[in-house]
Formats: sequence, C-alpha cells, structure tokens
Amino acid sequence: MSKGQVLKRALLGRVMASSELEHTLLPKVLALPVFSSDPLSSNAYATQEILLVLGLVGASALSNVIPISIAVALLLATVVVSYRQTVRAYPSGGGAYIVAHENLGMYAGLLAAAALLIDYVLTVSVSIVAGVDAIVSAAPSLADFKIQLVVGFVAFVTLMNLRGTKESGTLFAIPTYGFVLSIYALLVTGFVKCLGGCPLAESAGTHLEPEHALTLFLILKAFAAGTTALTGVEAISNGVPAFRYPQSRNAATTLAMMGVMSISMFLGISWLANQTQVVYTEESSRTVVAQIAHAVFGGGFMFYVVQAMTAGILILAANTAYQDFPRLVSILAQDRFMPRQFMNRGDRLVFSNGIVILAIVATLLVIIFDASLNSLIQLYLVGVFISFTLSQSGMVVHWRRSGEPGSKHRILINGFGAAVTGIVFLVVVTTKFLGGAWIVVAAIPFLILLMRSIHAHYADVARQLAHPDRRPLDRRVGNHTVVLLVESVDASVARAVGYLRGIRPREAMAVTFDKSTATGFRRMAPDISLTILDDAQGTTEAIREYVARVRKKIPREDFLTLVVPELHKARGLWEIVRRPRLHRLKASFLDERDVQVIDVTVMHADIDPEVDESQEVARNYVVVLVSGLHNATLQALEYAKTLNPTDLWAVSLGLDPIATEKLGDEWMGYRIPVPLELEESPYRDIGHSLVRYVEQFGADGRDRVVTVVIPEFVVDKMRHQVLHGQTALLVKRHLLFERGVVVASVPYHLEDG
Amino acid sequence: VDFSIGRERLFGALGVHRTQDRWLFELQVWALSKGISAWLCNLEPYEACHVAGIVERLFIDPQHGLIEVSLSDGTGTAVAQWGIRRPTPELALTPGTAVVLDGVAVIGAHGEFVIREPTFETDSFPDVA
Repeated sequence: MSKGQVLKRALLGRVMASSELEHTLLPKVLALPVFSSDPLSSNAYATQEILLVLGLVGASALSNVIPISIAVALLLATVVVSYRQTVRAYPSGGGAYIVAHENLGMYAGLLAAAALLIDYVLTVSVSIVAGVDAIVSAAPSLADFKIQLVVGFVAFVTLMNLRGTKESGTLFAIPTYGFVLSIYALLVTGFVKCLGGCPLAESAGTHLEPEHALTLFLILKAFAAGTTALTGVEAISNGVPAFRYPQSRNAATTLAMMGVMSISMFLGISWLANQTQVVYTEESSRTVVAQIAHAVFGGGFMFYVVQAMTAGILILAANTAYQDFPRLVSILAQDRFMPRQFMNRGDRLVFSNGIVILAIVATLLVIIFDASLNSLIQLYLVGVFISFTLSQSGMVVHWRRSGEPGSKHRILINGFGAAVTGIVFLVVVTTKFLGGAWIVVAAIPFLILLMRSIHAHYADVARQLAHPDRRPLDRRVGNHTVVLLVESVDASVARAVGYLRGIRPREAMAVTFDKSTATGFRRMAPDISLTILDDAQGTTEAIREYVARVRKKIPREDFLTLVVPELHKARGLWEIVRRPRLHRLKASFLDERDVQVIDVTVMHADIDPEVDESQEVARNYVVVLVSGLHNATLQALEYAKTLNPTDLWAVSLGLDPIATEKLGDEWMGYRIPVPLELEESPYRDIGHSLVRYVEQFGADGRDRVVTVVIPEFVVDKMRHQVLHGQTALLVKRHLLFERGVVVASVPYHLEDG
Repeated sequence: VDFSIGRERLFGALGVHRTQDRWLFELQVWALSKGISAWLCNLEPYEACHVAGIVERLFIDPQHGLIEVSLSDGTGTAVAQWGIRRPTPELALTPGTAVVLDGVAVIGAHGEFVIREPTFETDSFPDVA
C-alpha cells in the first residue's frame, strides 16, 4: 500500500465490500438527522423571513405573522402528507425526478431533476454560508476569512460524507437533535413564562417607518418568504433506499416525525416572536430566534446553547443535500442522462463522484457570490417549488392510472398539494425574479439540454454497438499480422519474440530506430524481418506511418497489432510516469483504426540469465474482459481467437445482479462458443479483481502466459470521453506489473453521431 | 522506515480482519439456520445433501452446454452444475446470491465436490450489522 493509500484509508476508513451495503442502511433515529437537517434548520430563519417582509408595512403589520405562519404550516402539512403517499407508492425511492419521469414524461422528469440539482447545490452554499455568518456574528474578527471558513466547512462535510452515510449520520445527529431539543426548551420555557406575562424582546417597540401598504402582493410575498420552511422536505422521498427495511414504512414514519417537529417548531417560534414583539429588519444585529432566546432565557447559558446549536445545524443542513444530490445523479446516470461514472460507489459505498462534484460546484458558487447570503438566497426556492409541483402532479397521474381503492382520496391530497405549491412557485418567481431567481430560471433549460445531449450520445453509442452491419467478421489463427517495436535488445523484447512465435501470426515484422540494436535482434530472432526507421519526424509519427503502410498491404480481415515490449525495474506509477513517450505512443494508437496494441512487460527481478527468454510460449491462456455483449466485445473475442489460445474465456467482474443475468442470457442467445465466467468484484475495483483472477493461472511469462484482451470504445470527440469511464486504462495499469501477463487493447471506434 | 508494520497496525485499527471474520461467522450461522445436512468442507460424496452458501462465481459454457456456480459457506466451497436448457432459472444465481441446494455430491475433475442438477432456492442473507 502506497503512502497515498495509507492517508486515504486514515481519512476515509477501510474499504467496504459491496456485501456490506446493507450495514450502511440507516435506522430511523439516524435517518432523521441525515435527511431532515435541512428542513429542520429552516426553522432558524423562516419566521424571520416573514417578519422582514411584514416590517415594510410597519410594526402594526407584524401580528400578521401568525395567520401567515399557519398558512405556511398548512402547506408544509400538505406537502408532508403528499410525500408520505409518494414514499409508500415508490418504495425504491420516489424523488420528484422519478415520479415526474414515470407519470408526466421525460421532459417533466428532466425539469424536476434540473430543479433539484440546482436546489441541492444551493442548499450546500446557502446553509454553510448562513452557518459561517452566525460564527462571524459571534466573532467579527473572522469576517476577513469568511470564504476560507466556508470552503473549510464544505471540505469537512464532504470528507464526512465520503466516509459513509452512517458515519456522517452518527456525527451530525448530535447538532440536529441538539437544535431540536434546544428549540423545544425555548418554546416550553417561553410558553410557561408567557402564562405570567410574556418577556419582551430587545427590539420590542422599535418604530418602523411604513414603506408599503399592506397589499395582497405583500402578504403573498411574506407567505413566499415563509415557505423557506419547506426546503428539504422532499429529501426523504429521494432517499428511501438508504433506510433500513421495511424501507418505505420507515421513510414514511421519519417523514411524519420530521413534519411534526418542523410544524411545531415553526408555529412555536412564530407565536413567541409575536408574543415577545420581536421587530426584525435587515439592520438587526440579532436573528429572530436569538432575540426570542435572549428574551426568554435572559441571555443566560441556554441562550448560548440555542445559538451554538443553530449555527451547528445551519452548517450541517448541507448534509441533506450531500445525501440526495449523489443519489439523484446516480439515478440520472442509470437512465443515461448523466455520465455513467456517477453510478459507481466509492470505497465507503457512497456515490463518491457525486459528493465531490457537489462540493466543487457549491464552492465555486460561494466564491462567485463572495459568500454573500443575501445574494445566494435569492436563487433559492425556485427549484424547490418546481420539484414539489411536478412531484405532486405526477402522483395525481399515478393514482389515476393505478385505480387502487382510495385513489380518489389520494388524488385529492396530491392534487391540492400540486395546486398550492404551483401557486407558491409563481409567487416565488414573481417576487424573486429580479433579485437573482432569473439565474436559476435560465440555468434549468441549459441543464435539461445538457442531460438530453448526454442521453442522445449514449443512445447513439448503444445503437452503434448493436448495429448488425458493424458486427465483426469471423477470424481464426493466422488472421493476424504483427509489428514488434524494438528499442533495445533485452529480456522484454526476447519475451515478446517468444510470444509472437506462440501466436502464429500470418506475418511478424519488427521495427527499430537504432542500427546498433539490429545485429543483436537479428541474432535473437532471425525469423522476424527488421526494418530500421528514420526518426527525423519523431518516433511516434514514424511508427504510425509504417503501421499505416502495413495496414494497407495486408488483407482487410486480418488484425494488425503493434507489440510493445517493456522492461520494468519496479512496480508503481513512477515506472509509468518516467517513460511518457512510450505511453504517448500506445495512446496514439488507440486513435488508429484497425490497429491493436499488445503490451509485453517483464519485471527486472523476473529475468533469469540462464533461460532463453525468446523461446516460444507453450501455453497462452486468453481472457477477454467483458462488461456487456455488443460489437466491441464480439470484436475482442474474434481478436482473442487469432492469438492461438490454449484456452479462451470471457470474464466479467463486478456486474450488478440484473446485468449479470442479462449478460448470461444474451451469451447463450447469441450462441457464443466461448465460456463466460461471471465473478464478483467485492470492493468494486475491477483492476484488483482481475489481478486476483489471472493469478490462478500461475503464469511465468516464458512457458505460460495469460493474455488479457480488453475491448475499448474510442469516441471521436474529446468532450465525449468524459462520458465513458476510463476502466480500460485503470485495468491496464494494474496488469502492467503482473508476471506473465500480456495486455491487448482492442479499440472499437465509434462514429460521431 | 518499515511501513508494513504501520500498515498492519492501521488495518488492525480499522478492523479489516474483524469484519471479514464476522462476515464468515454470520455466513455459517445463516447456513445453519437453513437446516443444512453438512458443511461444504465435510460433504460426503454420493450421498444426498442439503447445503447452503453464497454464490462466488457463475460459469456458462455454451460449448459443453453447462452452467455452474461455485458457492462457499465460510467453511469450504463446492460446485453446482446444470445442463443448459431454456428457460434457465440458474442465471438468477449471480455472484453474491445466497442459495440453498439439494442434490448429490460427486467428485469433480480437480478433486472438488460437484453437485449435479441440484434443486435450489435463493434466499436473502441477513443483515450482519
């Protein structure tokens, strides 16, 4: 294990096997803080947002906070009840994307997905900036380091989430439950004190100059501001698969618990704000919750507890987004709307790529907006209400289609939810558009177009891989011409010569740039013709030209392979890095059509001076790495057949059960005369699993060789490369230093769609 | 600096071995709960057996018309083998699947136990947490 890996293990913990996935599932007591820190934390500022708008009318209008809060609470209750129906109807996770996609069509699904993705990024940025604001309020000397603090907290929450869902849930449970308990303590104490006459807040009686009349628009604006209390409510419906079994029942219970807590805290804070006569303006130095806590606890120990817990939960509200964003992008990747790498689970069984991307985008947003909460919050809420409305509308269609008993009643609940959240969406867009919501409104179509174009690319790739006209021809031993690159006469070249003799090509030829190596090579392999190339135009270019000339001469059905011998002194990345020219050469041949590359590597320690390394290989076990059955795999199988194999297998590692069953079924359906072996990759590392697999052959590189044939897709455009995992590259890196293992890359070129 | 010592300590502290041992133990407890007649390491050839294990590998050999799985119960391994026919319910025995088998074990070409054409039932391996 390298030092880098030791550090990684120390930071993230041990690698978890896929079989441990069930152990990472959350009990309700941990699921609540993991998925509800965002909606619960919004109680810290929802009442304040209402008072801020009502304050424009003057102090007399502040009492309207009660009816507006009741309206928001009713909306919250409606949304919670609606989502309870959703989690029961979609036990495998019923986020807005899935519900909208299934019931309203692809574009509605993509609209919901785009809205949610933006919302999750904003949740991270807004909540951590809000938390840091609270810290800076307490310690103004830190104001100059605000951005650094935000980035530091983003990194901390990211690291904790990379350690695993359960681990982050356990850590973040303390501040979440701490916040809930401290707010309940505040409410109970405040209620008891109010029985004998309520204490007044420090801002009570502050005169507010009326700037507006109390119009319907202003009331709607105050209502829209209060609906921040609803942010994150959908998180549980997205995260059902993270719950312990029975998943949907546990998710529905957790949703109800979150709803009861949120509504009671929100109404309690609004009631106490009204009773203590809090006045809040943008110039206020203390938040509404802080003012109430100061009035109720008289600035004592409990006041600081409430403040500390509020700061804590505001920062950790980001955790909800860290749970749902990676899960959503993994679902989108499964549906081919996002790069497939987002489907991969990391060392700790979380969707690490999604977590890292979320952290990067949220950090960029914070930097662009200079960690200004007022600017960032204007972008918030638009996405929330789009996803609410689409999800509820989708559920109406779902119940209509299902025709289950009681579906009329359910249609009514979800229909009411859709109508109300739809209206609130219009209010939010109208009132926040110029403040910054236009950025979100403009970004959503861009994201939809991006996802649509990713999907079109994958569909095109699938079509090309299955196209009957591009199915490879039937090939046999002898349908193969080989060009050997000779840079020096050493053990690696000798082994490559032995390998070439073993595969019985139609013709084998060698090229070199160095006249001094010619004599030695001719002595070693008199049966292989050697051409000395001129490297004036560069070695890579000279070899490419030579290979292109050979390609034109040989029959179309023949494979043409460039064999690259490599002698390594040590294992590890440094060995690869120190010879960039050779690796550039191999990489450049991936772009060449109808040319394959074989790597014959020898470790210095494996060389025996007593043995003729160039002797013909006696046993060549050929293994074709398979991830699915398509033209690229068929071409690799044809290629493998021309290597004169002693035995030929296809092996597939680490596919999920559905893909495994499908591959097995197709393998028999296509009548492929090659045995297929399907094995687990317990730690989702195909490179390591393949190394363990080839070890069983006991290859020594002289008598006994294992050739691993790797089919590789090659796309025309650079931007399309990010849509395809670089699995082949990683696998090759692992196999490069294995004794007796020869790696063959068989590129399959995809046309630009 | 001998990093291997630190590495062993680190692994020990991270509980790698403990988790693997616990998984094997739970696997055996689960196999027992299925009323097995023998552990895979103690199979008697040519006698009817009722065994349980986790599928480690699925092998399809269209040329010989065979489909086989290797399974482990934490004590040993055995191979179950069927002739390919349509439909092929054995394809559901993907790696990682828990399975309970009834059949007769024979000795395979490499000395391993092979249970030919056993009846089988998939099961879910319980949560080890």
